[in-house]
Amino acid sequence: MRFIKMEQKSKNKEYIKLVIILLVLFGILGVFLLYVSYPLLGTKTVVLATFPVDPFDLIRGQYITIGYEIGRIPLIDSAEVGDTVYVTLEEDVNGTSRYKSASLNKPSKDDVFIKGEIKSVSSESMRIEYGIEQYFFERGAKFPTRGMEVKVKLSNFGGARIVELLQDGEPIEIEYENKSLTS
Amino acid sequence: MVAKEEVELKEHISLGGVVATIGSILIALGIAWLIGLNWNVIPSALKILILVIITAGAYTAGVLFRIKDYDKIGGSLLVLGALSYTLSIFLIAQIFNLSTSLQLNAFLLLLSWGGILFAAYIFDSSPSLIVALVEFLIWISLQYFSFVELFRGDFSVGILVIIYLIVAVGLYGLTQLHKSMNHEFSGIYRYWTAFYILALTYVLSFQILLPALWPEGFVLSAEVLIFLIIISVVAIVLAIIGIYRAVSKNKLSGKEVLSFVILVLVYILLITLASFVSGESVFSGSLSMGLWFMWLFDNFLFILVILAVIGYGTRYKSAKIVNLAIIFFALDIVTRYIGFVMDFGGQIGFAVMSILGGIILIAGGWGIEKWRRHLVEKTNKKAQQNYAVY
Repeated sequence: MRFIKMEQKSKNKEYIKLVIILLVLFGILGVFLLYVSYPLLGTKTVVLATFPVDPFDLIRGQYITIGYEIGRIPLIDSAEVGDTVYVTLEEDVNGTSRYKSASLNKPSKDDVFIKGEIKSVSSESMRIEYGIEQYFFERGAKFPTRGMEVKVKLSNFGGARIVELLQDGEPIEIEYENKSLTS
Repeated sequence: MVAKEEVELKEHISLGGVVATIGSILIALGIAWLIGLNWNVIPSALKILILVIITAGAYTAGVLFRIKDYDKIGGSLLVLGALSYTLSIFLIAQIFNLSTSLQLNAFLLLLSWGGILFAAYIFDSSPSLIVALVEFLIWISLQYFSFVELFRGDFSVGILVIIYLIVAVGLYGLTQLHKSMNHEFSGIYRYWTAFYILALTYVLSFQILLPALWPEGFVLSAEVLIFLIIISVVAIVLAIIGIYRAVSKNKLSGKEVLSFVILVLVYILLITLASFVSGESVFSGSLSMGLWFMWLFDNFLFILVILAVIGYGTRYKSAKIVNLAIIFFALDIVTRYIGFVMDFGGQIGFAVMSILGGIILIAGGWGIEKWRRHLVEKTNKKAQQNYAVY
């Protein structure tokens, strides 16, 4: 007999290995999931004004890149590319949150602020990214992009996650082309 | 007769393993495609659940098949589990609209290959280790590009080549470490060491890339320097431990260690010397003598490295390493052929070079195949004779 059936002891060892691997891999996935969903557990919600464009990522799929109004703000003292910056927001009469001030130090918890990273600096302004510049959707999606706003949840540390896209204060409904098996 | 049946059985099982692995990759590809399409009708939580079930199911089925002595098919299912795990990470990133920056993609890959590597060791699964190493290669390249993007540094092919050299040193250390423990992963690490060495020599064989190794006015950012120091320390420590253990167990000769160290030093010298041809244009019509000699030497070295890798593969009875070297040799011929066509531009020149080159390639192809068969046969013979390889 070429193959000798695995002994019970070895079998148990294999099952233990399986349990260890599933615990470790799902542990990593779980921690990652908690990390990325943490801002969504926050109580602060803001609506941000945008200027979107439309690319495609081979690895990650179809998405729009969203340029925010707060993506370019006035330059602050001693700010350098790569620094973390906290942008304090203030709501206007239409309920859209706009730039109020910026600091390299974390504002108080009472302020509504969003954390970003300085990507470039010019003589009077700086470009900031907040990690919410992409919104993913399916190929063949149709939705209006003019006057689009984005509803964002903020954590106490300023971390942000997109909740939904808005137009005139209402959620945008994304329509998808009907797909056949050959499309 | 019994021996023949055993060989047939072995080949059958091996073919089954290959087919099952292709099946696993196809399933993962199908899932990846669905992720690319975003499946708008399925709620996000359900998408994650599906991926988690596929990952857990694939790993469980893999273990069950291995228990029933279907090692190859079990291994293929572990590969499916590894790929599903990778896809789960990317799907979660997509569901939460995480940035598509290079750094974020590099981070996702880091999470992925780290987990798969751990699983490969727990299950002693060679196919899973290969998946981890492929993802590692993409990660380490992406990480460098990300540092360039993040810290507005200058991109240099030279730094990328140095990174591959450092990784090759680390992999060589891992090869020796596993060899000293008679661990089956030593063959895989050996193959990947050969791959990195051949790949970086191939990069150095391009006339157009040599002046780009160190672009004019290149400044190394502090962050990239720290990254280089960290991976160098890890690689050197692995190499020292691996070599020490293999030598102390009489599984590695001093001659081989010396050859490897000399090869690494030659690469460091070549990469450094490329700074003398920094910024030269290969399109201006006349090449400087320095660039010309460096290019010739690098190509000569490439052939020597190919031959050395073939010798290395033969010594360690690895037909896969021999085949890898032959693939790079074929790649070299095709690349140089295209290069010559470009150098001897013009329509008549192109026509003449095409005809002459075509004849050379057909003859070369026949010669290479004959040479490859001869070497593989020789390697297999040594394997059958239980040839002492240390």
